[in-house]
Amino acid sequence: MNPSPAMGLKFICRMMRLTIIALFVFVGTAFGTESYSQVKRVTVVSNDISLKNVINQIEKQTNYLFVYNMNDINLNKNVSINARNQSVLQVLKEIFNNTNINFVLEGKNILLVKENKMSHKANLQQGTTKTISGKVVDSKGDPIIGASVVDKDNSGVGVATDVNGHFSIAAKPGVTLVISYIGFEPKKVTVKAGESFYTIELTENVKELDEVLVVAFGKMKKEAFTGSAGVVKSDELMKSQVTNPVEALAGRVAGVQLSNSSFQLGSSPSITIRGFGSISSDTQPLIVVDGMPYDGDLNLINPNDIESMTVLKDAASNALYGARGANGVLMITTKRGKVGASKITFDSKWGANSNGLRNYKTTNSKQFYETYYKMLYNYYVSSDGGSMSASDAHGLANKNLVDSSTGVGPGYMVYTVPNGQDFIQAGGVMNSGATMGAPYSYNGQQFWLQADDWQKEGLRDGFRQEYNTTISGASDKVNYYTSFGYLDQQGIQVGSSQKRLSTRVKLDYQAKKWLKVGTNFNYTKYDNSQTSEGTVGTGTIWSTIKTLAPIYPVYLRDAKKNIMIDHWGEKVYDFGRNYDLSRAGDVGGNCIFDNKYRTSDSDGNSFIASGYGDINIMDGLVFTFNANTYNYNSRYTYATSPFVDYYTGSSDNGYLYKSSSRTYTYNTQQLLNYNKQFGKHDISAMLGHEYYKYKFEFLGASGHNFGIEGTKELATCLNLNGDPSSYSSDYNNEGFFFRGMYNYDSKYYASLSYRRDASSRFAKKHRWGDFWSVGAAWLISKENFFNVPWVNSLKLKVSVGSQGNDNIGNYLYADSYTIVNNNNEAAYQWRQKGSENITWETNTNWNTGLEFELFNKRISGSLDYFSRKTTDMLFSLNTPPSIGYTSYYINLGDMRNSGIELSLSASLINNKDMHWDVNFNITHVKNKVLKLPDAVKTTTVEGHKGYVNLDKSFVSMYEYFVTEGKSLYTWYLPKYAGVDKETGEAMYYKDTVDNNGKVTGKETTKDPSLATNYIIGDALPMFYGGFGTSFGFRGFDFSINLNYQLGGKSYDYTYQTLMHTGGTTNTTWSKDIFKAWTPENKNTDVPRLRFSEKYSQNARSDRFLKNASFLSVQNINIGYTLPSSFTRKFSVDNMRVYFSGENLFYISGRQGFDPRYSLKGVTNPELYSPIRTMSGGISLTF
Amino acid sequence: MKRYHIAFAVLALFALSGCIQETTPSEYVLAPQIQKSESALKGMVNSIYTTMAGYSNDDGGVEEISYGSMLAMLEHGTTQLVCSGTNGYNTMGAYCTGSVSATGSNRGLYPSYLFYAYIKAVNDVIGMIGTDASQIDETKKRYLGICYAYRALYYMDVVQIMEYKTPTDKRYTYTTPENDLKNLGVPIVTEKTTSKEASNNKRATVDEVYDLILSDLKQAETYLTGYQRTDKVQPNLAVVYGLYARAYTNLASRVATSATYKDESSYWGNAKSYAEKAISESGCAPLTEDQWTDPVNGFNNRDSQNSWMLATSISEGNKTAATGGSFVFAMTFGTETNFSAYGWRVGRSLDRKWYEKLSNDDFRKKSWLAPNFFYESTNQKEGEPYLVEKDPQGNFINNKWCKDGNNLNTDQSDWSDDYSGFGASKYKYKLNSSASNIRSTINKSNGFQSWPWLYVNLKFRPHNGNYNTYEVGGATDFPVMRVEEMYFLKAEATLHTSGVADANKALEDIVKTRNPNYTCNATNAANFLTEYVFQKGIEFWGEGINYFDAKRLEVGLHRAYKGSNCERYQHCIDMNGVFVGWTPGWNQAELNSNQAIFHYNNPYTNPTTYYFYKSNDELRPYYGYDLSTDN
Repeated sequence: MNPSPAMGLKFICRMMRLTIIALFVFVGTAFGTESYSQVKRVTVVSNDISLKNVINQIEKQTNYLFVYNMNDINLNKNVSINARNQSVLQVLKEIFNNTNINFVLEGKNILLVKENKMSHKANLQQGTTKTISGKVVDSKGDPIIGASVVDKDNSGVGVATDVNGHFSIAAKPGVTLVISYIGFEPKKVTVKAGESFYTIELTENVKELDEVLVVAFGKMKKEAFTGSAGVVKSDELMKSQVTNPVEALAGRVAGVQLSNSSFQLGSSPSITIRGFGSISSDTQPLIVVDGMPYDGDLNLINPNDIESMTVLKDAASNALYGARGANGVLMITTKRGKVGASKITFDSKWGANSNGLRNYKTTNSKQFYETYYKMLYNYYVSSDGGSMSASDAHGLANKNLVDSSTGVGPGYMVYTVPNGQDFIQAGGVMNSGATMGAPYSYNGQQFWLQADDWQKEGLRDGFRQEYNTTISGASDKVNYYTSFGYLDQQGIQVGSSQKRLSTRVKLDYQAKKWLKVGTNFNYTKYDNSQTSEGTVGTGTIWSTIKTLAPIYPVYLRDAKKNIMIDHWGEKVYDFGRNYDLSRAGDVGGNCIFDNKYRTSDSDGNSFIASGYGDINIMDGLVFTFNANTYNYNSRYTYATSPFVDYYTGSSDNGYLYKSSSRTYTYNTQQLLNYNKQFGKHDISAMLGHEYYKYKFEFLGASGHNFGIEGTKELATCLNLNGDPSSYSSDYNNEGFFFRGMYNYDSKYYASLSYRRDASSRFAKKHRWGDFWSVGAAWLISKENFFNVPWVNSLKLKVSVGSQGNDNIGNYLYADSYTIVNNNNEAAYQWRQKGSENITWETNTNWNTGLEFELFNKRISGSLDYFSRKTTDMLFSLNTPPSIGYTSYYINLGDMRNSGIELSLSASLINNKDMHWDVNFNITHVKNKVLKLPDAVKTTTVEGHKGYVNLDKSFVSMYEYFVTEGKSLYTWYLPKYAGVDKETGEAMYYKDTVDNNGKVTGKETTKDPSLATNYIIGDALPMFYGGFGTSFGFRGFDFSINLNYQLGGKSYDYTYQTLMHTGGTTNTTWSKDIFKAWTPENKNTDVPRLRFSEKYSQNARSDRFLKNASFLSVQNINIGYTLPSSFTRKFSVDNMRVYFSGENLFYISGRQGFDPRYSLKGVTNPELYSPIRTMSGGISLTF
Repeated sequence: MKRYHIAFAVLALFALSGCIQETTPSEYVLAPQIQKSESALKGMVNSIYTTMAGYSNDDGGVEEISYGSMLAMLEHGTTQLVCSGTNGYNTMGAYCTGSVSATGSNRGLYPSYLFYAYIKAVNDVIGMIGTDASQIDETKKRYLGICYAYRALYYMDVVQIMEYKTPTDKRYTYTTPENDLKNLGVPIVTEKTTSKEASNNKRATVDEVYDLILSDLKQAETYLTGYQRTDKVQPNLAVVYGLYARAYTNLASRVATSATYKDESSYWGNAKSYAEKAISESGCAPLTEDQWTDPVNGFNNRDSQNSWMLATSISEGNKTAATGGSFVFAMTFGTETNFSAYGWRVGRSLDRKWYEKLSNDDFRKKSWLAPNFFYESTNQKEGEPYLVEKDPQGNFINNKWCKDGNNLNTDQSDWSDDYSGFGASKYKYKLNSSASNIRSTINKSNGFQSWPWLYVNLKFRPHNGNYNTYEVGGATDFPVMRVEEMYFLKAEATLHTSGVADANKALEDIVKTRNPNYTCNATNAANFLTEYVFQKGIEFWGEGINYFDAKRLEVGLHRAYKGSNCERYQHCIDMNGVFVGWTPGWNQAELNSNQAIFHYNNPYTNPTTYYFYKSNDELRPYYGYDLSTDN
């Protein structure tokens, strides 16, 4: 904040106080509310009282603040007043009557200005002075009330604008007037002879509005903030067309990483802030919505309702969330009304969702058969394959390729070959006379087989529509915001869709002068339909389009090549097992059919009701009570149609599973805030208590044998299955906390916080933990000695503190048993090993950084260094299964995430017609395991003692080696040694060991099961971040946002699948298989292509690790705002039409490979593809 | 409102907050909760039985599996258990081809998880009872007896499964172990073993494991003497004798490998006498034909007959075990059950050669469906050899049982309920459903490549004969020990103690209860053992015992012949002696967390290196092929 020096020092002091009081008010009310009481009534009765005291009384009884220049305004004059329950206006009129003080009301500020009648007159007498008048307006042309207009050289001369923005002042030509107003850039105007009316437009000082930060249990002036935070504001959020608000964080806040384990509609991304802080516990940040911890579904929050999302990253910011703050906190703040006339907005957009996946470069059907042929041929001519002659091998390879019954070929022959000719000709090229599609007969029935495009048949473009309406406003006592939103979108697969209806009502009310109350009510209803995803090998459309050989039909066709229609009028699908047709490997089924006759719907609604009361106990002391309850009911329906029985092995005659769940949370907070200034010292303190309760309840049952088509309820199932179950789970958290803040002269800031927290996840004795932080900030630029003109502000900050993480499963502190029926007696069957001693995982965070504004605030940014050390790490200690259980938890081991964040934004052009802004952020995080318990150091690799973190999924594909000094996600894999130049077989490195098990050297082996696993590299990226730019010219605006990641290694499982060789297969090949070893092509690292291999030629190894860098175009937004002069004719204040594109394009290390699914470098081809959304829309403001 | 009122209200609001509320789980119970319960110990003992009825481990990727399914899964690596149907989704398929290394198979890791979970259940009870003799009342003594008997069973099973036996068929090359694995068994975990010890717990020698087994049996014998059990899931003294008989048979069979157990003849003597003691102590009698073929209670009810000495039981109320996953025994082996695609698409069949070898007079043959159940030519003449008619494309034609001649009909109404009957007596199979139901269901999944030469079993029936509802039909009992086994063990021991003639007679004793005309005329030990393995293989088909015998007696795996009812060429393995797929590897979690065995894992050989046939063409055209003409 840099007000013009001409404004006078007292003004600054008042402003300072204003912000501090504002801060106090904000802190005191979790949602910071203001009330502007134009008709506010006060009572001041005294026979002899100074004006200053009257002002103080008014300030106390109302929210008004007086702003004035101490040098000009003399408030020592005593007056006599008898005002009982009079409006402020009346009182002011009374006390300033017969003074030279004019007052202007503006919002909660009352500006006092000196009437310069005398000098005015004097100037007039000099004959050179004339009265000039003018109007001060904002960028929209609206009048600014209460702006000050001051003679630059004579600060005693000044007036304020009236309710129409008008002013008049006496000035001589040549005099420079400074026009200023809070929240706007001051402007200078030189009075010219002959010109008597000036229209002065002030531009908003955006930085000024940025000043307040949402922090734990309140708000805080950004200047006073000693921690580290990143903010995404509603304007950014509105540009990105996300359904789940969190998606908008991608690339926009330094230190934040998102990963989508699925892009299915209704799924939520994982959020990681400043690295993985834990091995066994959850690493998701705490979500706080409007001051209340939120354990609900983020998809249920309408992004349109959000004013800002603040990511709190360090100890100073998070310590007050004690137990739950270790992974950072995401504060979501919803919108509220703005003082003035009611504002109505309406926004609607329509668009399409399409597949954002870039698929692998794989063989087409011709290349697939040719490759398959080569694989067979190479085998038959080899000694293992019988050392056949070239012509015999050619014959047999062709036969086995084409003949579906041999169990050697792909099972389907979908080409017609001219009679008597070879399909694949000698040399391995397909007969040029072969044509796609082939007749097939079975038991006298005639069919036509032809390859289908599974992606085309299985996926679609989905329609997306979204409408949002808001009505908001504020008056002196009331502030309200209401919204209504409706979203309806189809996914890119038939059967996946999302509908959401959300409403919000937010109300603040100044009930008494000492009591303010407010409520915030949100209702959301949703209806999601989701399609199948799964673990590796499930055979969903997602893996099918990536890996299925491009020769298999989706449908069965009759002899006339038409898709057959069954007697229910439905298309007949090809399952790869009818009519003796069999896809190689016998993996039958048809994912498109399955999807068609399967429903997986969840619908539900959530209520969030919050209320608060602020009680002003005495001067500077405010008590706040916040209460919040969240009630989320969801009903899930899974059904497979009876129709499925006709085509598959099932005989359920329809299967239905229903479940109903409820999440109920409540949270109460009692906060006592105190604030006091004396001289240049400013102290504030808060004492608080919070109780949080979470309960989840579940009830589910299933049945089969549908009584009527389309059964969706168990009541119409003829048979119920005997598996109904219900359970609930609870979690409680309680904390007592304190925060103290101090600043001296707004230059030196210090903060201190402490929380004592309990979590029900631990045994009684180990339940309570202590968390704390201290922080300090120094505004160097405010020092007198600091004199660097191009630096507008410079802040140095440092903080340290600790937070806890209790994000593990419930009840891990005790051995647990499931209750099983043994002949109608209870059996306590072992479930899980518990460890009584487990307790808090503690994060100790150091953060130090600089915040700066340069070159007339054209460039601003921040640079932070952080070090986040996790100690007493909750550790799932793997035990050998021979002990009868596989793991238990202990608190042992330390880990550190340290790194640097840099955020920069620049306003390259900013004038009336054009603006051009750019922003950039980059984060580097290094994860390092510091200390491991000896008990887990069971394995020694390359001299490092540690343990193998075995992925517990079905495939056991991913293993990391965890050892001190290395990243938690350090790959542990066999090392590929290339191919044996003579035979073309894949080779791997293997340690040689002596009799004592000591490693003596290294050799190669062809048997991957003998290959030694080595430490390969870090899965986590080196750098990540985002950048973007926005540009506006007159009514046009354009913005683009990108995010990126550099470094890290991901395992490309799909590519591994596509580089197979050796077996009967229905899997297509990557085109890289063309580089396979042959006797003529020995210089390659792709192993030979040969059927029937003793050893796998594409075994798990570092050969399939890929650099995980990517660049993603997250969002493009293009809009045009119609001139208001035009729209006002239709009573529309603002009208913008726009186009928005989300998730448009990405580049990764290999086409098809998408490292955005997981930060840990794992991939799974069975997950819903990324969705690209493109929409056009219109927004109106009335 | 006065200020102090406000202040008071504020204080009151602060005071409203009590201390954090205690919570307890509702899906399961915590140790402190059950420790308060008087029935805790009993509940823990009961968990021994429920763990055998159903165990799963998400961490290890072990789906819900029962003891019966585990043994049956292992038996998929024997000659006589053949998978017909379509094997694309055969969850037990890895055992058919021997693809059961720890790192390459998610099924091979099952035994090394499962048995140690069982061992934990008994160790926990032993530990809970403690060693303070004054605290051990009669009930606790019985509990201890039960635990020691079961622990002996578990170790005996798992050591046989995990002991590495070097393959012997010289036609193939095998991966060699990293270190010498001779006589290495499994890590020993008792109630005293800490988790720290377990993480550096080497593979004890097989001898050491038998030291423990014999000592446990001795304890069990002591504690169970005089014990009248209430349920066949509880071992009694007869079971302990039966386990002794098994243990001594095993010891006698491995004196060449053993370092300390070298006294072969005394072991055979012990085996024989314990088998006899088990028979007399148990008071059990071999199954009768009625019991064997009972469609409602056949091999699924521990109480419907007096042959079973020890059983596992899935209670009707134990829905998880009755329905959980694809390893439910009744689902896997139930030919009539329509619970799951796995039930029918993969047929669990008797090897065709074995079927044809088995006398028609033997009532056990009624456990497998004869070919003419599915296909009989309209031109078949009574008394003439079985007639197979095919069109030029190789499709079966003129099937008497399908109404429009289409063998692939899936509608029950398209199939006949008629059946010419099996054998001279025109025996009609006892079914819970009907012939037309079985015949149509078989085609439902459109995949019976090996149709109609299935020889699928009817041995194991769904609980209560309920083939429709899996939570009822899946709640089956499974025989862990039948008295018939004692007769067989006695016969085998007799061979080694009294010679072939007595052994022939001992074998006849039991087999005559199945086929009154049966005689055994073996002239030497080798052909006695061949007959013994055959008869025992028929008797215990699907019960897992054959797996242990195959590995113990090194009988090889012989499924590669023209006319086999194997569905695919990968199953047609021909390997003499020790089959590589009989020894799974250790699970990766054990290798990672127990450093002492890291370099002592069982090696894995890729099955493609020992496939006998190169394609299904060498197999499928021969379905129905007359076996007497070739091979």
